[in-house]
Amino acid sequence: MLIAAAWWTEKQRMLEEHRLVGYALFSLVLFRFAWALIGSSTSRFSAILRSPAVVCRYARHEFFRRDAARHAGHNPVGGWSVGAMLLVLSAQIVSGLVAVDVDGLESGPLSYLVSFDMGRLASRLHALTFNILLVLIGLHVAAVVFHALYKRDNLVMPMLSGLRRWEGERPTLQFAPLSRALAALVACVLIVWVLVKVVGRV
Amino acid sequence: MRLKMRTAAATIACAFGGGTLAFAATPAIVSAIKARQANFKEIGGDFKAVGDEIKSGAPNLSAVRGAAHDLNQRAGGQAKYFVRSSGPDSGVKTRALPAIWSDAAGFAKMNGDFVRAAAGLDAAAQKGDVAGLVAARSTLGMACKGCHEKYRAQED
Repeated sequence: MLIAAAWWTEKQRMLEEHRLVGYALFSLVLFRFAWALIGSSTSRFSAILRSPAVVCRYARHEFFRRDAARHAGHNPVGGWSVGAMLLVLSAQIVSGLVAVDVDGLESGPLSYLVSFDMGRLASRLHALTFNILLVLIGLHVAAVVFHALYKRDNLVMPMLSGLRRWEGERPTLQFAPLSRALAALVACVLIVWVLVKVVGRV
Repeated sequence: MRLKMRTAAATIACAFGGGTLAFAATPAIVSAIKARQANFKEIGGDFKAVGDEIKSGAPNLSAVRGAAHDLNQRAGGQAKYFVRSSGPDSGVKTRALPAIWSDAAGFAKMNGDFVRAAAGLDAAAQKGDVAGLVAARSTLGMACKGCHEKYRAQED
């Protein structure tokens, strides 16, 4: 939703609002990185970024099999899809922070740290990475639909609730407490606020 | 028959060749477009430099003076680069809209606003009047925006 808002505010040349949406996205992406370090077991880097061997095995033998074993969190390919989206989102945020428009009229809060040419380059990157991001999001959503229709595996509810139907041995998952999530989110918002309001110049 | 074909081919070649010649920008036009874009780019850089200093809360006036003066000089020299036929049909990549020439009076007026606003920024910078500088920057920003909305194509 925020990504759609970012697109819309840019198209309408509402750059003030576009920056605000960017800060919100920045906070969430930062939180996701934090959660990959201190969050629930299925959210951690170790669970989403599996080794190439595991990914290859999944892609070769399990991808199209309806009866393939389920994964408690992201499957090995889906995990890298998350990783790729996070990486591109990070590039999107960093480039946006220093981007400058062609007239030198509008700019990201940290653009004063870079030259006009660098800011312009960042702005072009900002447009490019947005398109890459759209492709990655499209793939991710298409994969979720594929799982729902072809594999009869609803991935959306487990994402929201943390619960899913399971056959066989119960996996050991560790859910981090909600208080930790809230604390991490507040810390991320605070970091972004300091970076924008104290270090940044708008 | 063969002759007819040849004539037809020659006619087509002429039409295309002629068309290309008619639309190909002369070197003077190409260099005007390049100069115009380069000058605008420098103006953008100057505007950013002034803006960065203002946003710092305690502007470094010597940096502002240099940028504002350069901007003012360049603003005054910008109109001459909008030579006839240097719009989108020149074949050169440009966002200049045909309205610049079809509505020459309107464009000249906005260019006048721009040149005056740039002079105002320069004057405020040389005086070291920070409040005046902030106001002049905003006036100039509006002049840039106003003209771009009317006479410049959207970025693709």
